[in-house]
Amino acid sequence: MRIPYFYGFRPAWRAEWLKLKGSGVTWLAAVLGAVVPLLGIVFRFFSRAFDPPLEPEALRFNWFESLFDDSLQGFGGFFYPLAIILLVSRLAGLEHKTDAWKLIETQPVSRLTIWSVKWLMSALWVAVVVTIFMFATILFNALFMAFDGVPAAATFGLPVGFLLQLALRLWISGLGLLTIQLGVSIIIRSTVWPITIGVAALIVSNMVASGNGLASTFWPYSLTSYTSRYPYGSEMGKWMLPAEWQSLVWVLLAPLAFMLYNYRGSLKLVFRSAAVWGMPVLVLAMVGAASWWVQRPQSLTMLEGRTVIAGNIQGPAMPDSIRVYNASLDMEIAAAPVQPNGVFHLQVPLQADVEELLVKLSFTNGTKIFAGKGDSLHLSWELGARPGLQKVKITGTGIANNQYMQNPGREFTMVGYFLSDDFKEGIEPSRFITRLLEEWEEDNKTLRQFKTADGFGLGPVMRSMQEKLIAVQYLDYAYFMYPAKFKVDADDPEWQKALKRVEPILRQVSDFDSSLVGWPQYHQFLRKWLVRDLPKGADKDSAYQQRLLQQPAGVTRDRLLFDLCNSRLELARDSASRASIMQDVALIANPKFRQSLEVKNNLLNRLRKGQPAPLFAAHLANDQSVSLASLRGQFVAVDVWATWCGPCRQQSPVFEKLAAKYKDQPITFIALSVDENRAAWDKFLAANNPKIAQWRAFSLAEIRQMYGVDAIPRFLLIDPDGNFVNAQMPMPTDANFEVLLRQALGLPAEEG
Amino acid sequence: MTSVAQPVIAARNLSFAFHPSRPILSNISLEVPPGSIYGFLGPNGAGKTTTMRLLTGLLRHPNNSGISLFGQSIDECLPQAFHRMGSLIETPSLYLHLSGLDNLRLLARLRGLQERMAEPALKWVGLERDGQRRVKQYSLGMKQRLAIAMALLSEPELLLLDEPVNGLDPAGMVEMRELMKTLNREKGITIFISSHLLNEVEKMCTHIGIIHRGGMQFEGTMQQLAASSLAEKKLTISLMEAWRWMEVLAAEYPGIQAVDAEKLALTVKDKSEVTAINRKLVLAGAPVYELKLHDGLEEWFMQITQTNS
Repeated sequence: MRIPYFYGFRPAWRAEWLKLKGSGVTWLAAVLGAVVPLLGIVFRFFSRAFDPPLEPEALRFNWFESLFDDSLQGFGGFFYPLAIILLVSRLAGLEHKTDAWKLIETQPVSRLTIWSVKWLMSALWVAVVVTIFMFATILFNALFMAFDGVPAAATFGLPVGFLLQLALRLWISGLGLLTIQLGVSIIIRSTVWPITIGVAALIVSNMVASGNGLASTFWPYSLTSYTSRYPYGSEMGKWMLPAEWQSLVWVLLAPLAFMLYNYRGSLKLVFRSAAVWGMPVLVLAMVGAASWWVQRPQSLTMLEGRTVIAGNIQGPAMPDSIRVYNASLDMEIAAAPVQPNGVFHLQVPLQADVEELLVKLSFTNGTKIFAGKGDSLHLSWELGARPGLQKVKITGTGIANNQYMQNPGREFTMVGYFLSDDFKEGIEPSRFITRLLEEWEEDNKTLRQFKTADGFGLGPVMRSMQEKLIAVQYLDYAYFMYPAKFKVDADDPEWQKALKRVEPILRQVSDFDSSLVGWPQYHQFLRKWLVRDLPKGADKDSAYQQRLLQQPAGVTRDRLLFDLCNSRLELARDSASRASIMQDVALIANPKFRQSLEVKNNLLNRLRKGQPAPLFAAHLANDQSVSLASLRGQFVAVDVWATWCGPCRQQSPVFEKLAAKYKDQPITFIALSVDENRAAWDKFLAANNPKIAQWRAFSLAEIRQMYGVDAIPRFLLIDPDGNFVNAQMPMPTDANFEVLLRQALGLPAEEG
Repeated sequence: MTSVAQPVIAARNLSFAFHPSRPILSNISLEVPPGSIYGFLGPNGAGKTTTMRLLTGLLRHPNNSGISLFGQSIDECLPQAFHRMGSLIETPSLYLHLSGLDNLRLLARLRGLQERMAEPALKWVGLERDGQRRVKQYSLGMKQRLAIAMALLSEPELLLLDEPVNGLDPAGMVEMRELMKTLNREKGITIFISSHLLNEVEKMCTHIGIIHRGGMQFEGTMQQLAASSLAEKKLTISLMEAWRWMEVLAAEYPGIQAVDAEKLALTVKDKSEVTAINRKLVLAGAPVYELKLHDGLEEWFMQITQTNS
């Protein structure tokens, strides 16, 4: 009769359990699990004087989840893998001291049982470390909170799913390391060496595999660190990240580790026979194939012929529409209503392969996103109580592009520092260019290695575009910023010689690259690049325009011309210079571009001080029609707001206080609602009983067009003749609002 | 059913080498009959421990080792057969951070026995008062005794002991010997015991195997050993004019030789013959001035031990 593979499993497990008595394993697990949360709390205790005050209006967040944003990286990056190395070494080492291996190997339990029990016991204690870490983090922070106060925006629902999944992912991310370390700790019958090897590998991996490179999702000693960088796990709704899968792949080495243990003492002898090589070769082939599968470049299926943006909004109040602008054209390209439950869905027409878009919710702050042709993007949009407080999570096919653009390149570059005001010394051209070439290479490497948590890299179109944009950035450093800061003459021979070395960067971009037309930084660069031969003081804008016109007509040229006019228009100080710019607008072929510039010009002219404030149709709560015309003879201050606009509700009470303060002055304060939903407005008035005149515009589009309102709250001040004093007043919470108001009313400045 | 004659341990032509040019064991054959105390004798480095490690499967033989335990090949019967055997190989393997009692309990768990068997086992080896102490604090002798208690815990049919009296004081050695004999006599336990001390083995073994330089030099019962040429005793007789007196003994001892002018050499089976020889020579008028009896086995063993140490 065959003896079962796992012969004597239960007796062996029970014996293993008894061995733990007095072995210090419990202490080891407790200390290594609790050290990071403990250090974190000590650090917070001593640094809390420097902490920013608690933000009462911050976005709501789950208190339990937030704890792991802070402490997880220190744990997963070092102390957790260290705990695995030490625990495994201790558990294996229980047999080393008096060669107790030979004691258990002469008992009625199979070798496979002995090895498996060691593995399972190690895995169990690693799970204990993770559990202690999670509990200690919660416990210590709860104690700290009892002492330091409860953050106002925190919610306290226990996120069971989040905690369980995080614990499980952490545990799994350590199993590969565990298997390898256990193999080493059993084969090398010493305590010191396996620990030394493990810690050395850990330190090397922390140095080498930092960043987003392949190594951090492959090298067994950096997998826990990878997992800890993403407490929320997959962004694509998957159960596990590539690093965790890779960890399981390393567990496949277990049969090999077992074999090395089983034949310990006669390994050389055993491996002399070819038959024995079958198993290791098979195991290594399996590990290789599975690693390739886990590490293979991921791609997402793109849509055919359309680009879709969809998502959902959460917040204290719901906007009623969503608008998408082409960021570089400053032009609306799509709009759609937002469902009452916050869901929206719209298709966007794109000109270039990848474009920067500005997505706005009714009037509130927008967010920048990057969309490529065929992308389907999903936006999870969380709104706070005041402008700027928002969180947008972008997923879908464009996830990698958008994450890369949030933090492209590296945070600190030496070249950037040389060119900043902080750098006071000089630097010779040759040294500067050497450094510049190095950092250009490094940026390209970062670009190539970029991956999202789930292992998605940039698409080929985006990557080639970003390569070009990096080149543009470094060419800007070399050709323009360096000479400008260090006052180098264009014909300086040393400078010319150094510049020759940027040739490889130059090869990346052509003079007139249509694929980059959607990127503002390329426009800005071209405006310098195309006219770089002109002497100082020349009219570079018109020369640039001339040279653009020498290029073949088409979308690219049109967009560059449009961009030039648009930026000139924004900078122009008076209507006369705007008028001269408008003559150049005729050079643009695309009628839409021309129209957009004309609208902008008209609006800028209309909103000037002294221009008549346009009359719009509005009504009171009792449906009686009202008009600005009826308020001639006195100043009018207008608060443009809506019930769904959280930030507006922060400003309105201050506006009302000012109304009370200046009630004896010749000024009327009006709250002008742009709510499209009449019922919401009625309900708000009934509930809040505001003290100042309440108007509601009949048409939101009219207000947007006439007053150029693209965000609320917006405050206007109109003089007794019905002309603008200021069409862009500061927020009432800003002291300047009152200063401008008093100026207009001819009142002396207030003391203090 | 295994027949009565079925050996508990059997090895046929067992060879082993870590490196082909340096064989450690060559063609070892041994048979340990049930109920025997088998002394496995050999100097240090002769291959005793390697043999014991192969017998217990601690050392994996790259091919079929040809060893069988209880009539079954070890490749088929281990680790199940460990239920029937206890062993103590080289230095005692113990968990130093546990108490003596816990070490025994642990072993009881491993062997699927009741943990309460631990305390009586401590008594067998006289450690009942030290059961709660950590083994770390034990003396070498105490550790050795604990290890033996652990090997005996399940009252196995076969006990494999590698140099069990190492580290014991003379009183301990005697005690140990008595324990072995008692176990063998009363419980019928077969004991396979290795040693490098001849007198150790002589005093308690029923069977003996002698290994030297990786090869078996002798295997058999103690009686067979006594009857073998290895056990022959050599008598040298010093007397004047040796060649003249050879005739007196030649009929009885055909192998008699004259070593030199004043010395005769012959082999005897037993000490008792020496008196008879002496009487014969004296009666014949031979001027005998010295009779010297050499113990062949001991001398031979001393010789191989010295050349190896």
